[in-house]
Amino acid sequence: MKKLLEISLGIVTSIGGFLEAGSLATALQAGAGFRFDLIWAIALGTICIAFLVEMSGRFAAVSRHTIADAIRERFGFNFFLIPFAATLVVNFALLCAEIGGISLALQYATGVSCRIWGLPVGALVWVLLWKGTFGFIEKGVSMLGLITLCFVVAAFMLKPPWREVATGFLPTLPGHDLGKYLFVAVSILGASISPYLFMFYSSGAVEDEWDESYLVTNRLIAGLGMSFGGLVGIAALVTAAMVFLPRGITEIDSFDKVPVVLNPVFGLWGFILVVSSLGIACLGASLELSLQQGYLVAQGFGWNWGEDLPPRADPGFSLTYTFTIAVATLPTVLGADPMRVTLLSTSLTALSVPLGVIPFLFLMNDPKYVGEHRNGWIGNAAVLFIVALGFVLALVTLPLQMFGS
Amino acid sequence: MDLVRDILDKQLLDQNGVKMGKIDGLLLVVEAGRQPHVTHIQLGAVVLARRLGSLCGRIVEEIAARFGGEERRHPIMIPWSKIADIGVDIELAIDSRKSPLSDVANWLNRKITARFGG
Repeated sequence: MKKLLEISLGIVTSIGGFLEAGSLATALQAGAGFRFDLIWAIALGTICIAFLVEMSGRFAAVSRHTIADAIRERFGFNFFLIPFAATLVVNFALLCAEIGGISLALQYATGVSCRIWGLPVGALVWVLLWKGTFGFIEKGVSMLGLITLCFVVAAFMLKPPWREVATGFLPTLPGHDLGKYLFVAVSILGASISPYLFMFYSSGAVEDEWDESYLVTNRLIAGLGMSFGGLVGIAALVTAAMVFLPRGITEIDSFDKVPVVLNPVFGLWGFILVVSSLGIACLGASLELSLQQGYLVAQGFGWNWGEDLPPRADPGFSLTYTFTIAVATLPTVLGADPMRVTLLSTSLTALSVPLGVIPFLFLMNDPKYVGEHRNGWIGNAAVLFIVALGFVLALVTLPLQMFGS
Repeated sequence: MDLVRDILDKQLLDQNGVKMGKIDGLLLVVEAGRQPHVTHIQLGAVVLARRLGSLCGRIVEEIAARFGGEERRHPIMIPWSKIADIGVDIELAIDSRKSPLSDVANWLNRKITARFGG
């Protein structure tokens, strides 16, 4: 039972996948533009990421190595550089978007421009990491993150036509705007299957000192944690479909349309709930991304790392996230449009999916690392499917980016 | 044992379990009348850069020599005999605090980490 409390790792991971700035904006866009038609994309993303997260947790619990460690060790430095560089760039772009997201939430709350908030937000993220422990961050973010359940309550209170909601779980082509529909679908899938999520989860499992006795817990956490994110994501989509579409808003081209989405249900409280959800989800994702940037570099080069160590014990790791956060505040401070940064980072993520997933085919079947706990045929079939899906996402992202948006 | 599969790029740990980097390169000595044998493991950005190509290697050597002194042109070498155990990780019978490997970490700590109270 005590082990199940570690579900917080699953919840933090899934907040990064489904509720951060990009995913929330895309889910709302999907509902406003295409009613319930794109629910299947969130559901499919949830299943795929649950599989990958379970595997990376199992990998870490059995081998005490993270996915990034193993990519370098198993495939050598030259191959490692490719996913390394791609993930580094994507993480950085996403972190810029998240810092923008927190700053925007503060702008909505206080009326002070988000450009002013960029630096204090960066400082807050940094202090939490510099002084905090992994358990503190993990438990704090997952507790506060429960506020996003307000979307689930709202979705129920709006009494959507459940039969149509259920039909949304089956992929169908829309009668209009095919390019945009595919663009949103690709963004949803790319954001939820993003490599930094399962890389972070495997590092978290090592931080939490999981061993083979956690394999069942890991399976539950992967399933329940990712379902939490997927459920809130679908609820946000349904809410947008019920609120925006009837009011003629079909385009979420700016975050300014977002804070009012719950007003029809909760009145002024709706505004407070959405703004807090946005701020907290983006804060959680910022912490996760900054840590992952440090983990990736430290693990790739074999340095000491660990959020529970004092920074002097792992200066390479600590200074990597410090530097990343400092630079990632710049777009916000310089006044870049948060929605554009978010959309750019989301499509970059979709490009990086195959690079992150292909190594699973080898790592999850390597007896040196996972011994008897290697993938069965279901696991391997799932990885093959996700690799294929990843290639489709990467191939169609660029043309869709040009025509769809 | 397969050197590339089992040794190269593996995690190095010192005698206290402190991570010391990954094995970036291996030094093989070929002598007439003897089997080629590994004498040292190599660490450092210079070796990694050489693995990407000779031009890349020369560029990183120049940068390292300019900022760290002429001796940084060469990778850090650890004699093969210091290896205590070979598993998924490679354990060494040395104390990383007394090795030149800690120089950079110590420098970072003095210059930056300590100033922020880390």
